[in-house]
Amino acid sequence: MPAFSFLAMQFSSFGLVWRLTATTARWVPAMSSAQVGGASCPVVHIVEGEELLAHTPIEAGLFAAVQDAFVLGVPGVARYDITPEVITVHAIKGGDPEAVKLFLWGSAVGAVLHLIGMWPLHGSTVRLPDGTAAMFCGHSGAGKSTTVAALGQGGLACVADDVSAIQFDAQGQAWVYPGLPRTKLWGHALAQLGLPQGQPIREGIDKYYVDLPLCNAPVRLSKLYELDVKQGGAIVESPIQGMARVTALLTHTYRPRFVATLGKQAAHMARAAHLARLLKMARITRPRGESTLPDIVEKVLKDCA
Amino acid sequence: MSSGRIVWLASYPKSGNTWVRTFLTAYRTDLGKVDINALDAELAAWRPTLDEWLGFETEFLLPAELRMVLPMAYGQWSKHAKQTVFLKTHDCWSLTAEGEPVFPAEATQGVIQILRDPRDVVVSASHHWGVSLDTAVDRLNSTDYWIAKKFDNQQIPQFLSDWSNHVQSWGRSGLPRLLLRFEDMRSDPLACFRQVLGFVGWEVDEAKLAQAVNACSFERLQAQEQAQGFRERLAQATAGFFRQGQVGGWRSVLSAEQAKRIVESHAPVMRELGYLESEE
Repeated sequence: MPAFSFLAMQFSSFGLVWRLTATTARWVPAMSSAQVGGASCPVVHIVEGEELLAHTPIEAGLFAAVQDAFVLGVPGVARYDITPEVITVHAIKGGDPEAVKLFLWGSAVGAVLHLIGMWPLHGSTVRLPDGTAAMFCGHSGAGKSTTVAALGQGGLACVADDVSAIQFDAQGQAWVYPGLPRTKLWGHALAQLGLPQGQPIREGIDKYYVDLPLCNAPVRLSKLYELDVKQGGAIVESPIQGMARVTALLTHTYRPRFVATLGKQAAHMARAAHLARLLKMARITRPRGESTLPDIVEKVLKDCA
Repeated sequence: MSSGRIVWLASYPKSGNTWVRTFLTAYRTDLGKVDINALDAELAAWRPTLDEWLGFETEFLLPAELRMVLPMAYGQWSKHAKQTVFLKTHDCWSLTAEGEPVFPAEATQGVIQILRDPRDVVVSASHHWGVSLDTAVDRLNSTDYWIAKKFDNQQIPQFLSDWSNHVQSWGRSGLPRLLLRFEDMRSDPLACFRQVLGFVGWEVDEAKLAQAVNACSFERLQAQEQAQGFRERLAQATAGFFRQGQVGGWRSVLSAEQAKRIVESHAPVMRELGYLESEE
């Protein structure tokens, strides 16, 4: 394990302990309820690498460097050198630190989760009254975060937002680990939920950080809802059946191309087939542009009662 | 043809782009029917796919930053394609702030540019966008017109410019290009779609061609939309996506003033495309 002498803070999320230095602590989003993490959790250090000059060409995407070492490039923002133990952030000099933060806690952390063998899904998760978890998956804009925030207001505890990392236990059950205790919501979603506008994720983008109190332990996953949007009509809930269950899990893997970059397709397919057998899976399709949030919340709460 | 894998289906909105996509799907699948909600050609502006090729969330980027990374996304898309990829785009051809083409030549196999009389475009677009005819005219005449500009959109913002510049921009691209006029597709679809097959390098099978043209007749597409809906119809639209598909329908809809405003702004390009022959 590398030793970094200027440890400034640490917290736990996604079943890992994140350790930050005095300089990288500035890239941690404001969190009111960060967890300390167990002694047995794997540790990932976030350190600052050499700053890159403005206009340094950075190729976009995740690329293999050497065995178990990857580079994620975000042009104009930063290059992230990633191993299972360390993320080294090379920010562009004079760039927007808020952007550095967003891609760090998005794709860079997603790459670490893939590297250490966890399974990040593009989904937001709540704990149901029966103590198991339901995950809401879907493309950007499908309404994952808004739905989970509304379910939180309806009394369900949140487990993770946007990226939900799962790990299997010795009995083959899938557990979702608590994520970061904050969400990001569009301005219109805040208005729908009656929440005040907080700090924008970046100046010029109408999306805001919102505190998200999380449950403090992993929760066994029992249900997965795929959120979809269509033109007109009513809200429709339909079971996902057959091979479509595996396809949905592969589709909603967070950054599925990372799996190919890591050369783990076969193992990934096997765990998707396994998980598909464990879950109750349904697709909720809502009409585009209409305020259907209360109806969806009611449907899910009724479904899970 | 260039070395890339992408064939751009480029058009101003409501010019017949979706019709070409349905034809390509019908010809490839050879089933005698086509599902309008499962077309082969993807949207070049579809954010979730771009996020995958780039490896990060484009919604976190500011507009200028996003334009900067698009050539890389399309480069990755082409590089990993095993066969020709058809991508629908309503963008005009343009350069990033750094002077790089948004639609890179290295990623491009060719461009099928679909064109339609802007007066008919205005009528159709006013229903599609849910705006008045005057507003639709304003948009076609605006040199700074964008669609999908809101951040929380599953499509990224697309720069249309005004209608004339949209048409001419793809000519300036220097990319191999096939021009298709909507009016010709209506009058002789077999000939037009035969040209399409030749351009993309697919073998022309006359029986398959006739079956595909029949499968994607305007009336069939319209009937399917009425029965099952079409996921690309905008929420604010005031009519079906496949509304009338008429040639010259503007004559009974636009006021003389509205038609004049369009012609005054776009006469050189309209003349070049033969849209003013009957009036001159």
